[in-house]
Parts: sequence; structure tokens; C-alpha cells
Amino acid sequence: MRSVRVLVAEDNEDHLFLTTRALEQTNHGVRLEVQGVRDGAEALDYFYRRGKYTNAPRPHLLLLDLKMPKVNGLEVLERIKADPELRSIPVVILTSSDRPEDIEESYRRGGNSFVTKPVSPTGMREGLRDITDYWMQVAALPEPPS
Amino acid sequence: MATAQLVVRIAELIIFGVLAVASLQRWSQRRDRAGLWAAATFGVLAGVVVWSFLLDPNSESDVASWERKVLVAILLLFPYCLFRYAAEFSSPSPRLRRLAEVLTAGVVAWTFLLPRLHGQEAPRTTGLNIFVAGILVQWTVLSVAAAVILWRTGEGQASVARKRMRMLALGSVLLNLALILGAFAPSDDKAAAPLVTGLLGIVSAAFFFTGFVPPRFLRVIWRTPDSQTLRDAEMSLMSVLDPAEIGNALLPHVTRLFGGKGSVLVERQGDVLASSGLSAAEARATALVAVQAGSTPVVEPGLLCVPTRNGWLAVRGTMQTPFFGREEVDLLVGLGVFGDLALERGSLFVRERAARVAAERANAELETFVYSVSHDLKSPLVSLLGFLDYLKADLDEGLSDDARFFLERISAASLYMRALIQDLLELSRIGRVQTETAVIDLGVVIEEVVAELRPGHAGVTFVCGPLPVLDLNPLRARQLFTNLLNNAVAHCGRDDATVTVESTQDQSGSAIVSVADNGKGIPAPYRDKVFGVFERLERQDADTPGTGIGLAVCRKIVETVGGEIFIADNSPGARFSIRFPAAMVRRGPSSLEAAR
Repeated sequence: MRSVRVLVAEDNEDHLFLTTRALEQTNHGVRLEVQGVRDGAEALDYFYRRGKYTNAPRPHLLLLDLKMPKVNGLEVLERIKADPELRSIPVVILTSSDRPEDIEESYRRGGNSFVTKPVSPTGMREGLRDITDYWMQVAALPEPPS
Repeated sequence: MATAQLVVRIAELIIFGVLAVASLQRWSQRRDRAGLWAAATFGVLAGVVVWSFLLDPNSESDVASWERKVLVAILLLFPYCLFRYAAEFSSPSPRLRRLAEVLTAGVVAWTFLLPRLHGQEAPRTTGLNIFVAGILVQWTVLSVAAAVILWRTGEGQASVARKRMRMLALGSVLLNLALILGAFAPSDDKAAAPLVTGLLGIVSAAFFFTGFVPPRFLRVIWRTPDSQTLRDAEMSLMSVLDPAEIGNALLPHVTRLFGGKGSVLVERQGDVLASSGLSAAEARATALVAVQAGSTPVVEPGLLCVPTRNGWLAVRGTMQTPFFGREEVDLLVGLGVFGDLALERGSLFVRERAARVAAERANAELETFVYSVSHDLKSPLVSLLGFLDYLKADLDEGLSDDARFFLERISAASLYMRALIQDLLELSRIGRVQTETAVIDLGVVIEEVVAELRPGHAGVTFVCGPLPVLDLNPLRARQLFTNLLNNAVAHCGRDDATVTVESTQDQSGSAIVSVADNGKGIPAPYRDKVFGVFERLERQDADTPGTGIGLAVCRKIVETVGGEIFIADNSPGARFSIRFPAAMVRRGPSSLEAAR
């Protein structure tokens, strides 16, 4: 079974837990390795292998929250998409915002899709299943940079 | 004939006497050089008239001869004084001034060099005729010069100042004419010529008088053309709001109307608000006088100042400006009221604008606040609902009935909170997010809404009349009528209700769409209240769903497009009516009816 690494950048501990659990419960014939980071700065540390992430493998997919302390989601997105090495990693914005300006700005900075978090648990689970369905089965994921 | 001559001479005596007194009085008030020359001019004239009246015209004594010489010499000073008076307004060339002095000195000296001046009866000698010709030259040159100067000075002045200067000019020409006529009259003419000369003298005196101290009625008449100026001032004041601009719009008209040099608007603290035609120093000096005078009008030569509600309004005169009187004070008070009204309108406008800007800002801030708050509230709710879900899934089998009931209540409360937050977000979105309009057939919208509602409300009868076609955002239209119809079926208090949607069009072209039910209705005191956020008329329980935001959303949708929503009388039941402005109505309900 091939394994797919998903990085979830989410500052809310509960949401991170619920997202991780929902992701792990999906079943696409792949082994999902979900890694969580709690803010934008930590996400960048992960990508640039700093601090405790010196040996962190590059993820196949990033689920990125927008509203995060230190470095917000849009800044993380911009940094990744400006980096020739990292820009091939698909980024899914997963946020509670549905403001048109956030949607517009996310795509402008190179986001690959924008998903507003459903409020209900069922919606949340279904939404995450749809996201992984798409990226694991419908679309082809590139191999992450080494 | 002799009686007529006497009457004319007495009239001459009176009018020249009054003129002399008036000019002296004015000089004593103003103490200026022009006033001094005017007093000299008319004093000389009055003196000559009085003295010649007392003189025996036929006496041939030495004393009488000398008296006549002195009298003639004084008379010769009249045109010179008049010339000097005029010269105070506009300086003549030095050559003209020198000519005036030489001519006057010459004829005065000539008078005393004459061998003898005989009475009226004596025949004129050739020498005397040459002397008379000399006098005529001096008089004519000086009078005409004075008249021209006075006439020209009046040009470009306000009506009152201009007319006044022209009166003085005409007076000096007429007096000169009287003298010429008197000189050329045949000596045997005992009746007609002196009479005409006397009458001309009186007429010229009248001109001098009206020019010098114009009576009230004349000033009013002269000012008539300026009332157009006044109306112009009023019009220009309508469009300005800034205090300085108000001054700039009003003051030039004030100055013009009074024939003054300039005018100034002083604010209550004594600062110059605006001035026109005056230097900064003059304006400040005038403001100082105004403040010192307080609430009493200042009527001084060259200055007129009245208190207004917002300070003072003052006019400074020039030498041509006629004496300020009672009706000038009234006029200036009236103009002050113009200024006051404009200033007050301006400050009201500024205050209103500030309040509007503040209200708009507060409103925008509130919407942003509501958005952020409800957005942030969503986050813990996601956690709450998520964990609840897992809890129920994991523990379902092992839960006691009580525990299951408690979990259900937590779940229901969380879901209600979610509905509240979503409605609040929706409410804030209506104002924040611009929505594009489309042409929508309201009949179709209502059909869709009813189709959605019907399954849950089998007993309810929906009746739909002809409805208009509107320019409205389809999503908002749907939201609006979903809320209204939902509200009707949920709160009418009966399962077999009839809900009617109908429409009319008023004369202005606005479409009025009503949603009415035959339920328990809404008591009049609550009709405005129900459109407020979180306003509910009933306890919140399972039978009466809703967050209390639905009608607030309706009102906001309707008001955002410039319409209004209100509850009309409907017995029994409630009737919500929406007025969509004519600009939104593509096709009225009646024409739709006809089309069908």
C-alpha cells in the first residue's frame, strides 16, 4: 500500500484532532500519514527542516488554515509557492472563512483549492473525505521534493 | 410779478440756508476735508443769498458799492470752493488746480479794482460788461470742472453713491446756467429773467441738497436696482456652507449695496470671519469697534455696524458713501440675518454630515464586528459538535437514558447556536457583500419557496396572486420570501392556515408585495420590534422554531435595495408588506396578470 503524507497546519488543537481523525478514517487504499503543525512558523520550520523538523520528510499535500498566529496561512502559502523547490506541493486552504477576499487572495497566491470548513461533524467528515477522494483518486499527486 | 420774485427769493433764502446748515452739521460730525469744502461752498452761497436779500438793490451810496464788491468777491469763491470739494474725491491735474486759483484770484482782485458797482437800475458800462464776462469764464470753468469730477467719481459706485454724485454735478451745472442767464438778461427785463434765474437757483439748490444729504425716500428709490444684487446675494448664499465662503458670497453684495469701501463679517469671539474690500488691518480694526459696541448698532460717519446672531456685520464707507441713517441700519440688520441663516445652515450641514459619517462608520464597524464574532464563535462550535458526535458514536450502547437525554440537549443547544451564528453571519453579509441583480419573476420564486415548504406543512393552503418581475439578486429574493413564508407558517399558530402572497402597484410605480396569513396576528405594539435582531414574540421551544433573526434579515435585504418592509393591518392574521421602489420594477403585477 502506498503511503501519502499529509501536513495539516491548524492552530486550533481540537480542530487539528478532529481533522486528523477524520482524515485517518478515510479509506482510499492508501496509507495516510497525517502530521500536524500548530502555526505558520511551525509549518515553515517543517518545510525548511528547521528545529525539531531537521529530518522531516516533505509532504505530498498541505491542508492549510488561514487564521493562525505568528505567520498566517496566506504568508505560508506565498512562501511555499515562491520557492521553486516547494511550489509543486498542492496546497488546500481549509478555513472557516468564506469571505470572497480570502478566496480570491488564496488563489492569487497559488493555492490549489479553497474549502470552507463545514460546521457540522458530518459535513466535516464528508468534506475531508471529498478532499482526499479528489487528491488520492481523481487527481494525480506529484511526488514531493526530496 | 414782484410778489412771485419775492416768493422765489425767500424760497432761495430758505433752501440755501438749510443746505448751509446741513453741510456745516455734517462737517462737524465727520471733520473731514471734503466736508469742510462742502460747508464752505454752501456757507458762501447762503451768505451771499442772505446778504443780497438785505441789500438795497438801488442804493448808489459808497457803502452800497463796497458792499456789492465784497458780495461779488464772496460769490466768486463759491465755484472755487465747489471745485475744491470735488477735488477731494478725485484729484484734478495741477494745471487745472493752478488755473482755478489764478482765475479766482484774478476776478476777486478785478472786483475790488472796479471804480464803482452801481445798483440794478444803473445802465451797464462796457467795463462792467467785460468784468461780467470775466466772472462768467471763472464760474463756468470751475463749475464745469467740478461737475465733471463729481460725475466721474460716481461711475462704478453703488447706485446710491453714483446717483448722489450726479445730483451734485447737475446742481453745479444748473447754478452756473442760472448765473449765465442772469448775466445775459437784458437790463430792461425787470420781471422774467430774475424769476427764471431765481427758479434755476432753487432747482440747483434742490439738486445740491438731494446729492448732499439724500432724503430717505430717495435713498430707497436709488437702492432699487441693488435689490437685484440682494437677491443675487441670497441665491449665492444658498449654495455655500463654509463660513469663509459665506462671507465671500455675501460681503461684496453688502459693500455694493451701501456704496461702501468694504465690509466685514465678525464672529462672536471678535475674529474676522471674512472681509471684502478691506485690508486685514482695517478688517481687524472694524472687528474691534464691533466687539466694543456689543449689542448696539454703530452708526458713525464712514462706519455702519450691526450685531447679528453669530457676531457682527459691518460696512466701511468711502467719501462718496452717503451718510448712514436708520434705514441703512435696518437694511444691514436684514443682510445680517441672511448671513446668520447661511452660517446656521452651514453648521447644521457640517454637524449632520459628521453624524452621518460617524453612523456609517459605526455601522460598518458593527458589521465587521458581527462577522468576526460570529466567525470566531463558529470555531469552538465545530469542536463541540465534532466531539459530541464521537462521544455519541463511541458510547451509544453504554449510555443511560438520562445521559442520552443530556447529550441530546447539548446537541440541540449546539445546533441552535450554530443556526444563530449562521443567521448572524448572513445578516452581516447582506450589508457587506455587494450582490448583483438579475431580472427575476417573483411568481417563480414564490412557487419554488412554496414547493420547499409544502411537505412540512401539509395542512397549510398557499394562495398566490399575480406578482411583479423585479430587478433583484435572486439569492436575496429567495432568502427574503423563504423567511417571510416560513415566518407565516411557523408563527401563525394554526396548522390549517392560509398564506396569501399578492401584489399591487401604486401610482409612483412601486410594487407592494404582501405575505398574509389568517393566524393569530401580531399586536400593533410589537410590529416594529419583530424586525429587530433576536426579537421573538414567543418562547423558544420545539414548537416555534427560528433564531429571531429571520425578519431582521428580511428588513436588511429590503432596505439595502431602497425599499421598505412593514406590517399592515390584517384581521385576522399578520400581513407583511414590502414596497419595492419603482426603479426595481421591470413589470408590474397588473400587466403580468394581463399577459397571463
